[in-house]
Amino acid sequence: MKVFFINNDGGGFADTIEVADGLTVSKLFQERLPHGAPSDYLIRVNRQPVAADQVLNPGDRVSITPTKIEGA
Amino acid sequence: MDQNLAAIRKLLLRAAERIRDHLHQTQIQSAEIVLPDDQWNQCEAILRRIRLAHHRGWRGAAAAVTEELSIPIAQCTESLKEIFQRLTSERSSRAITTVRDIYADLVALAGEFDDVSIGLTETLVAVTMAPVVLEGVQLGRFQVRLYWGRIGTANPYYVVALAPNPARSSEETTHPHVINDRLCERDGKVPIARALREGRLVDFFHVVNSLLHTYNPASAYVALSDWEGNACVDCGETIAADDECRCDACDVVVCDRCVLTCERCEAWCCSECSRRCGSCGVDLCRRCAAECEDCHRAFCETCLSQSVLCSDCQEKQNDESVPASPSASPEIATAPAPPA
Repeated sequence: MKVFFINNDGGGFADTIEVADGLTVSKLFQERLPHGAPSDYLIRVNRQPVAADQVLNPGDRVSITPTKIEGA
Repeated sequence: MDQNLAAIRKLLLRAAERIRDHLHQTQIQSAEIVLPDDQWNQCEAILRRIRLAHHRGWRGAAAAVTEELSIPIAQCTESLKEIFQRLTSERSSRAITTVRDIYADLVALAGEFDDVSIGLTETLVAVTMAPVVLEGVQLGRFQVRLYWGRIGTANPYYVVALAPNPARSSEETTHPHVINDRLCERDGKVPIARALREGRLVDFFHVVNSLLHTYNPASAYVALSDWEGNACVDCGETIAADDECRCDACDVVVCDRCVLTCERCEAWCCSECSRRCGSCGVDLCRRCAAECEDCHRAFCETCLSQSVLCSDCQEKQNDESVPASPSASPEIATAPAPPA
């Protein structure tokens, strides 16, 4: 299925991606940010906070934003 | 209540439409590509001269003109690289979000942050963040003011302290990474630019919020350790960082009114590390002050005789070494008078 995935970490990424049916939010996070800890990120599905085991649906919008970003 | 809700929805929808229109307009403007024709023509003109020089056997001239070619070639290369980067970054960007998505973002902002306000005339979306406390320093609430009409320009948003607690040394610095209401984005620069270009407003405000709640001590306008300023060790007054002096001997902070300067070597001294010549009264550092061997007071080298005794002690020593007159001495008896 297709979901719209936004990663506001580093260079940023915002595009529609193909994922497995029944994928959960936490699984998607592990796949896309294998070295990150979910507690260090703000994770939203369709602009709402969700549980880690929430199953994604086709067309969902998933955004991941680091809670710590360094300025200068 | 329903009427209020309807009015709010109408406002959000109108804002979403205007934001979408502006982003679309910005995209059209940035799509115009201008090839470096002038620079290319310059390259061709130089190449003709090179060929002519070779044809006439002028090797030296050909070499010299060939060197000239490197500049317009470099300029052309840079222009083409810039165009290529723009094309590839625009291709990698998602198409501008829809009115529906922008509207959903505006609605979501109200759920994510404490206070959201919209000004259609000013093209403004203003969001108030949660209070910022970094390493125990209370910096208060900040309002992020995004002027959507300026998206695509250098400064589309400002970060305004609502109850400023600026650095003692710099009133314009309301946050270690905010000066004159401008946030220094560093690691947030690219995600902010992409979010604004693509109309993802919630993402923009989330990234700015993360920046405000993160302290980077290696690259702050004013470090939090200096936020309240330092106190002068001699008078106790808090000093702005620009007015700080440091004792060259013990490195403590002294204000510019209390700092003493050694007359001999011009070192800065606090009151503990400075000495005053007991004779002429000049200020000295510990290294330049000499001590009288007798009274142990501090003196400058000029006022110590042969760097050993001060003038008072020298005089005293001189007095003690002069012999006393005969009448004054009971030990010296007069010789008896010879017999008549």
